Amino acid sequence: MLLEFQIICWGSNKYKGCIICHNGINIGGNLYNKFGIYQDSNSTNLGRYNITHRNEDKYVFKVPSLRNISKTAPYMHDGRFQTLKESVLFMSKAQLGRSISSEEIDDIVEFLKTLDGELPNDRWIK
Amino acid sequence: MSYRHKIVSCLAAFFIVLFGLLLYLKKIDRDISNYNIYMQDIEDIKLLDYKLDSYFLHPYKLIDFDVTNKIEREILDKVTLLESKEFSELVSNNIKDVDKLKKLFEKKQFYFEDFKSINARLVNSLHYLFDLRKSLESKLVNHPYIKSSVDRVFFSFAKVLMNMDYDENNLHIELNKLKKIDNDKLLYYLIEHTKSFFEQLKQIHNIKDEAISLPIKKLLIHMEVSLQSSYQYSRYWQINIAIIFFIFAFLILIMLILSLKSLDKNTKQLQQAATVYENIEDGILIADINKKIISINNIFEDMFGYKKDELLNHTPLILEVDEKDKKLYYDMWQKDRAEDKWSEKLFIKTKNGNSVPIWLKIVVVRDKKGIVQNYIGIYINLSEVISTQKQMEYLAYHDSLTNLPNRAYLDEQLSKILDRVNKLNTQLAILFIDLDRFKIINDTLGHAVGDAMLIEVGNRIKNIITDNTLLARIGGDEFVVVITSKDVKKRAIILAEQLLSTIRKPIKAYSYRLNTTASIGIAIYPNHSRDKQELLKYADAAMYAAKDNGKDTFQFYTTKLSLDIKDRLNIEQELSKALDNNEFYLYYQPQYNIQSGKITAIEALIRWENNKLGFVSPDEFIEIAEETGLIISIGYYVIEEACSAYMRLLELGYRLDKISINVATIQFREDDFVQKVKDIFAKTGIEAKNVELEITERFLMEFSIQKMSIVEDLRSLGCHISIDDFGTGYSSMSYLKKLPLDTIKIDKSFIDEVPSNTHDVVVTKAIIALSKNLGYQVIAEGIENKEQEEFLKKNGCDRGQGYYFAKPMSEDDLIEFLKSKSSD
Repeated sequence: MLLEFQIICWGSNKYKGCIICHNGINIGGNLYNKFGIYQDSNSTNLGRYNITHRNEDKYVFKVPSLRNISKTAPYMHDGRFQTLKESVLFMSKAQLGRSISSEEIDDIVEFLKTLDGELPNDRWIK
Repeated sequence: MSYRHKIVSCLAAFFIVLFGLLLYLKKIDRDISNYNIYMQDIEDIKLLDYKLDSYFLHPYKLIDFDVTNKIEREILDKVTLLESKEFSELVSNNIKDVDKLKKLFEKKQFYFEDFKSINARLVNSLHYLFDLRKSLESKLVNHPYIKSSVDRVFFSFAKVLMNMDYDENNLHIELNKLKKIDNDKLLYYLIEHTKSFFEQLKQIHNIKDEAISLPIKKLLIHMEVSLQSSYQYSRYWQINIAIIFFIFAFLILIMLILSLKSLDKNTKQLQQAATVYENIEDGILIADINKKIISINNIFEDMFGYKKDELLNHTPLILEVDEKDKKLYYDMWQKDRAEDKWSEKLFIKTKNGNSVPIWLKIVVVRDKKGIVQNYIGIYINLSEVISTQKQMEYLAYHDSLTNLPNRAYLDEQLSKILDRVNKLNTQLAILFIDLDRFKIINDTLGHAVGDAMLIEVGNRIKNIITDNTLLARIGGDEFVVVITSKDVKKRAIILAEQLLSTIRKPIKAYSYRLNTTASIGIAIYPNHSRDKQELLKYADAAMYAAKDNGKDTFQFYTTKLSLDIKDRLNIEQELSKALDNNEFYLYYQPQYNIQSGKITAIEALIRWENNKLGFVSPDEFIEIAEETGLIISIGYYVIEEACSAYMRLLELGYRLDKISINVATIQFREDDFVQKVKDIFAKTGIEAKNVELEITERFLMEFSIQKMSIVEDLRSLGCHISIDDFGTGYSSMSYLKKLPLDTIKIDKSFIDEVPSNTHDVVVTKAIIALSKNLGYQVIAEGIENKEQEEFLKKNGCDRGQGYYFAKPMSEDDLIEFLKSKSSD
C-alpha cells in the first residue's frame, strides 16, 4: 500500500520528469537510455555499445531501480556521486535538461528515501 | 501350418493392428491438441505483436515499461514454445521459420529499446516544455517579440502533437532568433529541448517505420498457413491410414472367422474320424516311426482279446500268428518297402489262441515333405466275410425249403463226382425220385402241407443215405440221389427199395396223416450215358416208367424208354392234328345185367389210329391229351359221337338203356360244359336219361364241392352219373353220400383176383353192399372169367362188363353182336 501511495505521489509530483524513465513496479530497471542527453556525462564506459556495437547505443545504460536508493551509494554506473543530492542534480541537468532548485532537490531526496524497504539481509551476507 | 498356429498368429496380428490403431488415434488426438496449441500460440504472438506495434504508433505517450517488458517476454516465451519438438513434427520447415521469427523479434526488440529511450526523452521534453511555457509566459510578459517567437515554437509542438506538418525552416528561424537573444537560461532550455525533440522526432519515426515494416506478421501468417496445411495434410493421412487400419483389422477379423470356421470343420472332421476309428468293424493299430504301437481302437482289443496297456509301446509282432503265416507277418511289418500300402491275408491268434482270418493292410503315413510319420495297420476280420460268403454259396446251391442242395449244386457236384468216378474207374447211379400224387396233396390241402411233406421226405431220404452221398431237390417233388460204387446197380436197387419203403410210411403234416409213395428212376454211368445231363434225363424217363408201372416202384433206364419218350413227342405232335384228320373213332363195350345176362348198356371207348404211329392205345395218349388240354375237344367229340352212335343203334331198333361216356376231370373246368352237353343232346336227339357220364374217383379228390354243382346240373338234365375206377382213390364216405350219383363202377383191379384173393373179395363185397345201401347201382368191370361173374352175380352186382362177356368193338361189330344176342 505504501508503495502504491508513493508511486501516486511520485506520479502527481511536479517533477514528472523522473517517472518517465523510472517507472514500473521497481521504479526503474525496465528501460535503457543514454547517460547524458542534454549535457555530456564524461563517461569512460561506452555502456550498451560494448555489447551491440551500435553507434546509437554509445553511453546507453540501463535505467536503474530506485528501490532502496538511499542505501545504495555510490551512484551512477561509475559511482561518481556519493550523495543523492548530487545524483538528482546531475539527472535533472543531464537527463531531463532542466534547472532545479536546491529545495526541489531536497524534496526529491526526501521522497527517494521513502522508497527504502527492508534489505534482504541473508542475500547480502552471502 | 496347423489351424491352431494360424489362429494364434491371426489373433496376434489382430491385436497388433488394434494396438497400432489405438496408438495412431492417440497420436491424432495429440496432434490435434498440439495444432490447437500452436495455432493459439501464433495467434497470441500476432496479438502481442500488434500490441507492441500500437506503442510504436504513439511515440509521445508515457509508457509503463513493465507492461511492454511483459509483452516482450510473452512474445519470447511464445516464440520459444514454437521451437518445441512437437511443433517441428507438425510443420516440416518450422525450424527455419521460428529461427527467422526469433531474429525478427530480436531486431524489433532492439528497435523497441531505442524507441523506448527516445520516447522517454520526447515525453520528458514535452512535460518540461509544458512547465517551461508557464514560466516563460510570466517572464516574457514584457517582451512580446520574444514571446511571439516562443509561441511560434510551441505552436510547432502543438502541430506535431496534432499530427500536423510543421515548418522546419520557420522553426529554425524562430530558434535562431531566440538564440540571438540574451543568454537566458529558460530560453536556452527551450531551444535545447526543441532542437533535440525535433531531431529525435525524426529518429523515432524512422525507428517506428523500421520496426513496423519488419515482416513479422507476414511470417506469422505464413507459419499459420503452413501449420494449417500440414495439419490438413496429416489429417488427410490420418483419415486414410485410419481407414486402411480399419480395413486391415476387418480383413484379419474375417480371416479369424474363416480360420475359426475351418477349425470348427477340422474339429468336426476329427470327431468324425475319431468316431469312425472307434466304431469301425475293423481293428486299427497306429504305430510310430519305430513301429511301436501308440494307439489301437476298441475293436482291436475285442478282436484279439488284448488290452490297450498290453500292446502299447510294443511292436505289432507281439501278436501271435499261425505258424505258416509267421514269416509273412514279420515281413509285413519289418520288411522295407517302396510302396505305401500293402496287404495280405493271414491267420492271427487271439490271446486265447484262436486263429482269426485277418486281412491285414498296412498304410504308411507321410507328412507334406514325404517323411514317414506313422504306420497304420488295419486288421479286417474275415470270419464274417467268409461265413457270409459261405452262406451266399449255400443259398445259391441249396434249396431254401428243405436245405438240400439244388439243381445248380447237383450239376456242379455231378461233374466233380464224374471226374472222380472216371479216375477210380467205378460206376455212378442217379436215382430220380418223384412223389406220386404230390400235386393233388399240394392243390387240395395247401402248399403249407405240401411243403411240410417235402421237408419230411427230404429228411427221410437224408437219414437213409450216407453223409457223402449227394442228395438234391431239383424240382417241386423231385429229388435226386447220386451214388457211386464198383457195382452200382446192386447198391442202387437196395437204396431204391429203402427209399420207397421209407417214403411209403405215413407222413404227419399239420393235422393230416398223409400216405404217399414215390416212383424212382435210375440211370447208371457209364452204362447208360457218359453225359451228366443225359443221365439225369434218362433217370427222369425211368422215373416216368416207374410211375407207369403202377407207382411206388423203381425202374432202371432202358433204351426203350428213350424210344418211349420219342414216341411221346410224336404222339403229342400227331395228337394235335388227329381231330381235324378224323383219326379218332369209338369202340363200344357192352354192359350186361349180370343177373339176366341181357345187354343193357354200352360204354363208349375212344380209339386212335394214326398214319405214322399206327394204333395208339388210350393209355398212351389220354394222359398226353390231358396234359396238352386237347382232351377237352376230344371229350366233346366223344360225347357227340357216342350220342350219335346210340341214336343210330336206336334207329336200327336196338333200344339200350344207356350209353356210358367217360368224361375227363378237366372237362369240368369248362364253365359252359353243361350247356354244350345240352346242345349235343339237342343236336343228336338223344334223351338225357340214356346218357351215363362216367367220372373218375380222382374227380372227387381233385375237385372242390363247388364244382360238384356241375355234376348236379348234369344230373338234373336227366343224365346218370357214374363213378369210375371206384376203390383206387381215397373217396370219403361222407362225400359218397352227398354226391349226386347213380352208379358206382368197381375198379378192375379188385375184380382181377376175385374170388381167389380174400382181401379183394371183402372189398368188392363191401363196395357192393355200400352202394346198395346208398341206393346206387353197381357195375363191375374187367370180368374175365366165369368165376368172377358167378361171384358178382351171387353178391348182387347189378351190371357187368368185361372180356368174358364181350370185348370193346366197332359200331359195326356191335350191331352184329347185338343182332346175334337178340337172336339168342
